[in-house]
Amino acid sequence: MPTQIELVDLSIGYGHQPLLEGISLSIRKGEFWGIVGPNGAGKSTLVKTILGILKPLRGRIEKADTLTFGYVPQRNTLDDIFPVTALDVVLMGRYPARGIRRIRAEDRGLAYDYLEKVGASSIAGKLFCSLSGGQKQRVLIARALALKPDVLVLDEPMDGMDIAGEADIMELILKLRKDLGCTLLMVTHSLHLMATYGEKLILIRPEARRIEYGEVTRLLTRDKLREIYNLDLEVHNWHEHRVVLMRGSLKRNSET
Amino acid sequence: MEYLLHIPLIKDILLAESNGMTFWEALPILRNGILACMVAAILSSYLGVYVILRRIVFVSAALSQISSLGIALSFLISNRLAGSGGFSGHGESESFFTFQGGMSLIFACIAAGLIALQLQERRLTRESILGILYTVPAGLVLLILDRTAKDAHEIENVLFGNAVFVSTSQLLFLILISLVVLFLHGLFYKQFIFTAFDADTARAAGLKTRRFNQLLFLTLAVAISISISSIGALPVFAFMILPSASALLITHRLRTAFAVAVVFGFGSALVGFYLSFLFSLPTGPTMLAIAALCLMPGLLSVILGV
Repeated sequence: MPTQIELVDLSIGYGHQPLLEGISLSIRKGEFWGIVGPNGAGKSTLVKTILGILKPLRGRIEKADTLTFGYVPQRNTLDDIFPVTALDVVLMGRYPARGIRRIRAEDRGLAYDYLEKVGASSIAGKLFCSLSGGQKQRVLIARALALKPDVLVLDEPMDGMDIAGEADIMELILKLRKDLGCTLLMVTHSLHLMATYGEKLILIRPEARRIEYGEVTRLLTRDKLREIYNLDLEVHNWHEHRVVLMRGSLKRNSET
Repeated sequence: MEYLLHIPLIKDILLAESNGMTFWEALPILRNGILACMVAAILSSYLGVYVILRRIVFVSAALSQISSLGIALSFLISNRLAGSGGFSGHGESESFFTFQGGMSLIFACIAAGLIALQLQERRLTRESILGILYTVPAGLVLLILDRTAKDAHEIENVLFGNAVFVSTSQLLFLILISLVVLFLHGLFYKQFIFTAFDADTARAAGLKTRRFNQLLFLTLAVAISISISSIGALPVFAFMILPSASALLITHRLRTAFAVAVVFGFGSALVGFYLSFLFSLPTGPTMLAIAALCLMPGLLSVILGV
């Protein structure tokens, strides 16, 4: 598969203070990349830099000008004060294509189709602020799809969900990826999901201001996770799946 | 227009008397003022929806104060120049663009430009910076009022909209600017909404969110300063907050909220102006009171949980 995005010696962060440095990697069409690391490590900053929301402090991002991103932000960053329906939110995905021209019936039809694709057509007329976390997530994914993305970027899509909700959203994301053939970048805290479904991984090591990247099977190991999270973790292979088990904090264990 | 006097209810309204003069007789004098209030109310109420949704009430308050400072300074400067045999830039000016209006516009635009840059200082929150931009100009206006005792009453009238007398050229300028601002907002409605609701996603999708942000702040600054020069700071701030807050409380659709806000703003300007004539009340505060009444349906809907 051809390279879609090339990160070349990238330094990222806010102001002049780099959070991460020396990031160089290639993302190929159709790959599924997970981005994991502790809180505040720079996961969201990395995706926002790739998306062009933040400017890199150093280095460059090479990609085709025509490459389109479908971004699904953390849903708690959206203000519930806006009186917009689920359909209105998905329609926003059609705004860039429309420019200053009016939204037409065909745009509404498309927005409906995308809501249907994510199993949320029944809530099209409901206020976005009144939806549950899982429903909001589906609507935001539908909006990202309305942008007809080459790359779907999700920032902690399963955050704050129960296991059933988590599994629902993950299955949906994988189904969409299969149907649309788009590249997937997903920031997540869920190591077990990445262990089960992920292919490639960016592992952020905040103390070293560096990333490690590569195959999930190579990176999701007991020693690496212990080092990064300071947790007593175990990684096992079980029926062709990798399973991450947490036994507790290393600090606490060493104290007892 | 004479036919209005044959419609029963309207006839009673138009022929109501105050200080020995009917509203109908006073209309030729009041016409520009009424129209200016209605236009400024429509413009402010429309933009007010963004002010509430983007939680930038303090920005519009700061812009109002900075605009007012521009007006007060214009009085001070023209006063000094007149004292030294220079020119007089205020009073019943018939020019299309007054010195007061110009100063108010320049001050507000510079402030809006700075605010839109979203200057960050680690030890000061954004609210604190806006608080400073509100209180310092407010204090300076009072100091200037003290130094220009001769014009103090006139400045107070301008700032609080106590008596709204607008020249025809000033009214035309207000209408022209309002049309331009509303045209830009109609043209870029989608971009403004997407940027306001989810700037990161809009930017990732290729929208120039920073530019639209600056345009929103600039149109706010222009609308505030032009309206203040015509009808006063207090009513403009009231029109920016009250009708849009009422509209957002009673509607569940964004486009409806804009429409309801405009109707509330327009209505409170019209009714407020009329009542201020009828009961010899200061115009700005009366319009503000009526705009505040528009909050009632929204508050009721909150209390009743509708």
